[in-house]
Amino acid sequence: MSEKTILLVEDNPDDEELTLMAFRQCSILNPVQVARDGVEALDFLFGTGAHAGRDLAAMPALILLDLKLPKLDGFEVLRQIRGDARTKLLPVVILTSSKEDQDLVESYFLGCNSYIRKPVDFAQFLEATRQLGMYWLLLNEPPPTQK
Amino acid sequence: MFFSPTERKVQAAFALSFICLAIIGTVSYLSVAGLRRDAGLAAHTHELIAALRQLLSTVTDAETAQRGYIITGEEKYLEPYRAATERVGGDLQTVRELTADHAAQRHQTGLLAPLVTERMAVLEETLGRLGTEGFAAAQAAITGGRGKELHDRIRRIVAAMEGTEQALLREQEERAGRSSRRARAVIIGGSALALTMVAVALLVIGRDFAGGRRAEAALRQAHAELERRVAERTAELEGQRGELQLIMDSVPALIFYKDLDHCLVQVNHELTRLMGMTRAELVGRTNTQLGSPEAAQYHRDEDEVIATGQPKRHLIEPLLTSAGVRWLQTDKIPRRDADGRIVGVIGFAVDITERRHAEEQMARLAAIVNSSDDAIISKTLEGIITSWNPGAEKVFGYSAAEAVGKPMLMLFPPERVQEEAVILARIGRGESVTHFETVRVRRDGRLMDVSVTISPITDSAGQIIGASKIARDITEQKRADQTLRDSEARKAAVLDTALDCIITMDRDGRIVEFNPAAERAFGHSRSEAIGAMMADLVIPPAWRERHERGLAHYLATGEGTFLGKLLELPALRADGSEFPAEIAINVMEVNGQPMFTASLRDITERVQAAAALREREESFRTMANSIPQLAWNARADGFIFWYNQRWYDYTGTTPAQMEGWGWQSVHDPERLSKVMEQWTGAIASGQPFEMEFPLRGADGKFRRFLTRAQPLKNAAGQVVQWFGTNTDVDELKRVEDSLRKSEASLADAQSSAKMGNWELDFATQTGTWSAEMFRLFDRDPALGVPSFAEFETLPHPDDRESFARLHPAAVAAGRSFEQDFRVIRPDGSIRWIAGRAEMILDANGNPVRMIGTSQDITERKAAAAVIHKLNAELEQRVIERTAQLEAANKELEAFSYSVSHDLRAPLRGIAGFSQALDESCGKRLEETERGYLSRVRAAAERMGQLIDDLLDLARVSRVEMVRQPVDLSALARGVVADLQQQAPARVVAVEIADGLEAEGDPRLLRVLLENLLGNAWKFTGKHAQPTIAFRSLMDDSNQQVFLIRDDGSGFDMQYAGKLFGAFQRLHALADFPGTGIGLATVQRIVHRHGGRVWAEGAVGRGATFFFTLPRLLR
Repeated sequence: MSEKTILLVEDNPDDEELTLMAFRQCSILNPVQVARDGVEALDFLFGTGAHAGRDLAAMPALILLDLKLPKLDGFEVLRQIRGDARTKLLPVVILTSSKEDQDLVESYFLGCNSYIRKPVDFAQFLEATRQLGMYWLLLNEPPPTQK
Repeated sequence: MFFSPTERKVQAAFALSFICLAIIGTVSYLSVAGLRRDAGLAAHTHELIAALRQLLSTVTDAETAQRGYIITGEEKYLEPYRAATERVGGDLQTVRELTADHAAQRHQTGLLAPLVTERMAVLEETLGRLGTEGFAAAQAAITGGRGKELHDRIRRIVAAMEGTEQALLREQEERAGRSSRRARAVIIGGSALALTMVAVALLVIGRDFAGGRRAEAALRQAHAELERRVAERTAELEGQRGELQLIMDSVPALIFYKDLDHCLVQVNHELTRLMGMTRAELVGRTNTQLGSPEAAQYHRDEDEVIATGQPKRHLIEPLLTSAGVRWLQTDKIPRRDADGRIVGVIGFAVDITERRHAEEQMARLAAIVNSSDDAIISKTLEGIITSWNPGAEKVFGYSAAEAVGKPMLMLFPPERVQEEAVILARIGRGESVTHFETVRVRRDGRLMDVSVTISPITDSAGQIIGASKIARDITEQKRADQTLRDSEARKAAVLDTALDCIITMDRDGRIVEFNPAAERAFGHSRSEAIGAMMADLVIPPAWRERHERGLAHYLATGEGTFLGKLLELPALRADGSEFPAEIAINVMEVNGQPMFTASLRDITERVQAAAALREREESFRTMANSIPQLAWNARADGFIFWYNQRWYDYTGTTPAQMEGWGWQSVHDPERLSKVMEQWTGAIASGQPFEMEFPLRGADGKFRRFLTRAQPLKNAAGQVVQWFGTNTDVDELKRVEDSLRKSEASLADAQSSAKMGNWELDFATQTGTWSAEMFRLFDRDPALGVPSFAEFETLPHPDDRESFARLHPAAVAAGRSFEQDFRVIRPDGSIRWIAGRAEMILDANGNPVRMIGTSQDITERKAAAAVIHKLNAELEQRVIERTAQLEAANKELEAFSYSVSHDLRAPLRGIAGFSQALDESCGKRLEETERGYLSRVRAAAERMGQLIDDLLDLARVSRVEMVRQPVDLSALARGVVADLQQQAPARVVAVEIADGLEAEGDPRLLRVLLENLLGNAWKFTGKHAQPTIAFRSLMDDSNQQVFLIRDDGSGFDMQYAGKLFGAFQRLHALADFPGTGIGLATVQRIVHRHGGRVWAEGAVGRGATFFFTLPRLLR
C-alpha cells in the first residue's frame, strides 16, 4: 500500500456514504478502508478475523473513529490501538455526533489525536472533512515507523 | 731713599718708554683732530656745490616750463613753472647761508642774487604778455634775448663759484694727507723706541734675580744641617727618657713623680691601668682633682716628705679608680734635682686591696667562730683536734687548751665510736655530713643530743687536710620540738574538728592555715589554699580593696577596727559564688610578726531565714491589708498595736486614736460593757474569742461584725499575741432574713414547675424532701422521707437496674449525675422524672451529702417522642426522594447521552442527502421542488440546534455544581467579546458595571450570561443604536439583584409568565431565530443556585431580566 490509506470506522451507512462523498468532493483520493464495527476495525489493524494474513507493514495513515459502534465501542478500539506497539503511534481522529464532556475527556484520556464533531449541515460537514484531510494527510508529519 | 743700581736702571728705562708713549699719543690726537676738521670743510664745500647746482637747475626748470607753456599753450606746463618760482627764493637763501664764511664767495653770491631775481621777473613778464598781448608777443619776448643773456650770466657765476670750491677741496685733501703721514711716522718710531726700552729693562732685572736665588739655596742647606743635628740630639734624649719610662712601666708596682704642688708629673703604666685613664689625663692633676678619698692626707704626707727630706713608708692610702676604691701601700721619697734641691716626691705603691679583703674576711670569720654558741672544731684526717672555739668549750666543757691535740674520739660515747670512722671516711672522699643528729659525751660525762655538720678542709692545692665540725647541743631543742609537735597536734585537732572555718594569714596577706571546715565551705583544698593570697582566694572582688586597706592600716598603725568584732561579710567560693559569712578576726604576734586568724561561719541559712521571716511578715501585712475583713494584732495583755488599713478605712480613725484600747470609741456604748467582759475573759483564759457586735463606720452608721480573735502561743504554751478579725456580717444577716422569706416562694415555684428538691446525708442515711417531692412521688408526707433502700425501689422496674447501677457508682466516684427514670405511682400511673444530683464532698474528697432535684417531665417526654417519630419519618422520605432523584438523574444522563449520539445522525443523513439530491438533479427540478429540498435541510438544521439546546438544558440540570466566588463583570465582558467577534459589523453600546460578584458555579453562570446577553444582543439587532446594560441594585430586603437591560424589541408583559418555559417563543422565527430553550436554561441555572429570575418589558421598548444569586461569602 504505497498510498496513504484512511481507515474509516463508522457503523451508520448514511454517515459512511456522506463521508466518502465528502472525501470525493474535497478531492481526497486516498484509498479508504471502511470498518463497520469495532471488531472489524481491530481485525483490519492487527490482521485477524476477516483480515487474517493482511500485510501488516501497511498501516493506515489516518484512522477516523466513531465512538458509538456495535460490538466494541470506539473507546475500546482506541484503547487497544494505543495498547499495541504496532499501532500505538497511529494518528486517530474521533469523528462523532456527540460533544458530551464525558466523551471528550475519555477520548483524550485514551490518547486520541483530535476530536471532531460531525455537523448536521452538509456544507459544514464538507468543510470539516476538507480541513481534516488537508491537515492530517498533507500538513501533518506522520510518526516515523510508518515510512 | 735708597735704590739699588738695578732698580735705577729699570726706572730709567720705564720713564723713557713713558715719554715716548706720551709723544705718540699727542701726535696721534693732533693728527686725528686735523683730519676731522678737514673732513668738516670738505663736507661744507660739497654742500655748497650741491646748493649752486640746485639753484641753477631751478632757474632752468622755470625757464623750460614757461617756454613749454608758451609754445604749446597747455596748462600742464604751468605746474612745474609755479613750483620752480616758489623754490627759487629758498635755493638762493641756502647759497647765501653757505657762503657767509667765505669773503670771495659771498661777493659772488651778491652778484648772483639780483641776476636770478631779474631772470624770474622776465619770465613772469613774458607770461603776462601772453595773457595780454597774445602768443606772438610772448614768443617775441623769448626770442628777444634779454632772458637768454640773463641765463648765461647766471650760469657763468655759478660755474665760477663751483670752480673756487673745487680748488678749496683739493687743498684740503692735500693737507689731510700730510697730517696722517706725519702721525704714522711718530707712532711707528715712538713705539719702536718704547719697546726697545722695555726690553732693556727686562734684561737688567733678570740678571739681578739670578743672584738672589743662589744666596737663598745656600742658606736653606745650612738650616737643614742644623735641623738634622737637633733631631739627632732629640732622638738621643728621647731614647734616654723612653728607657726610664720603660723601666717604670715594666715594674708591677705603681710609680709616680709629683711636683711641689702635688701635681703628677710622670706616671707608670701600672698606675694608668689601675686608674683606667691615659697618661695625658693623669699628668698635671692632683689627687684632689682625681677625687681620691683621702687626698688631704696624701698632700700632708707629701708636704712632710718635701719639708723634711725624709721618706715616708708603708702609708695606707685609698685610691679612687675606675674599678672603685683600691687600697694602696705607698712609700713616698723626696725627689731631688742635680743640685740636690728637692723638686717633688717620688711615690712607689703596691695595690693591697685583695690582701686587705682577705684579712677582713679572716677577722670576721674568727669573730663568728669565737662568738658562735655552736661548737666549731677542726681536726686532722687522723681525728686529732686542731682548733676549739669558745662555743666548743661551752658545749663540751673542755677548754681549748684541754682539747687541742686530743683525739676526737674522746667526745664519743663508747657505743658510737664506730661513727667516727664512717665520718672520717666520708670526709676523706670529700663529702660533707650535714645535720647528723647523734649523741656525744660532755666533759662531765653527761650524754647530750647534738646535731653535727662536718665538712672537709682543703689546702690551696685542693688537697683534703682535715675537717671542720660544727656541733650543736639540741637537747633543749628536741624537748621543745616535742612540745611543739604536741601543741601542733592539739591545734590541728582543734582546727580539724572546728565547725567554723579557721583561716590564718600572715602580714603579707598569705594564707598559712586553712582548716577542713574552710575546705568544705570554700571548696579549696588546704594544699591549694596555703600560700595563696587571702584576698584572691576567699574575698569577693568588691571587698578586696577594703581588705587590703584595713590590713595596711593595721600594719602601719597597729589599729584594727575589724579586730575582735563579729562582722558579716560576703565570702567567695572556689566556683565563684558568694555566701554571707559571720567573721571574727584576731591577731597574735608570732615571732614578732602579726598573724591574723579569721574564724568564719557560713550564715546563708540564717540570712535566708531572716529574709524569709521579713518576707513572711511583709506578706502577712499585705495579706492582712488585702483581706475583706478588718484585722488587728494585740499583745498578750490585749493592747492592740496594729490594725490593717481596712480598719482605718472603715472606722475613719487614725492609728494614734486606735492604739491600745482606743477601739472602744467605735463601739456601741450600750454593748461595750458586754464586749469588754468577754474580751478580758478571753485574755485571762487564753481561749479564742468570738462575738458579734456592731462597729461604727466613718459615716456614723453601725454595721454588725462577727469578731474572732485567735491567740498565738509560743512553745511553752503561753499567749504571745492575739490576731483578730472583724467580718462584716451585716449584709449576710440581711440576706439570711430575705432567704427565709424567699424559701416560701421557692416552694410555690417548685410546685408550679413540678420540681422538688431533696438532700441525703450518707453518714446518717437520712434525707430531707421538699413538699413538691412528696407530690411528685404521690407519697403521703406523713410517711416521711423514704430511706435510701426504699428509694431505690421507687423507679419503674425497667429503669431500676440502671438506676441501681448509676447511683452507687456516682456516690463512689464522688461525682454528680443525672438520670431520667420512670416511677409507678400508687395509682398505677407512670410518670417520667428527671433526677439531678450534686455530690457534697468533705475535705478529703469523700461524699458526705448528696443534694438534688427531681422534676416531672412526663409531658415533655411524650412531646419529644412524637417529634422523634416525625423526624424519623421525614428522614426516611428524604432518603427515598434522594434515591428517586438520583435514579431520574441517571436516566436523564443516559437519555442525553443517547440523544447526543443517535438523534443527530439521522438529521445529518436528511440534510446531507437532500443536499446531494439538490446538487445531482437540482437542474431537473422545479423551483418549488428545490425550495422543498432546502426547507428539508433547514428543518434538519433547526432540529440539530434544538437537540443541542435541549442537551444544554439537560446538562444544566444534571452537572454537579461547584461553588466559588465568581467575578460576573469579567465573565460578562468575555461573553460580549465573543458576541462582538461573531458579528463584527454590529455596534452595540454595552455597559457592564465593575465589581459584580456572586458565589456560584462559574461554568453555569457563564451559560446564564451567554443566554441573557445573547438574547439582548439578538433582540436589539433591528435597533440603530442599541444599548445593553449589566449592573446590580439593592431591593427592599437588602438583597442584591442583578439586571441585564436592553432597548430592543421587548415583549408583552402579558406573556411574562410563559417566558421561562421550554420551547416558549414570543417572536416569529423569521424575526428572531431561536429554539425557545435559552430562558428555560437561565431559569434552571438561577434556581439551581437558589436564586430568583424574572423579567420586565414592553413591546418595542426593550426588556430587563432580573436575577438573584447567593451572596458572596467573605
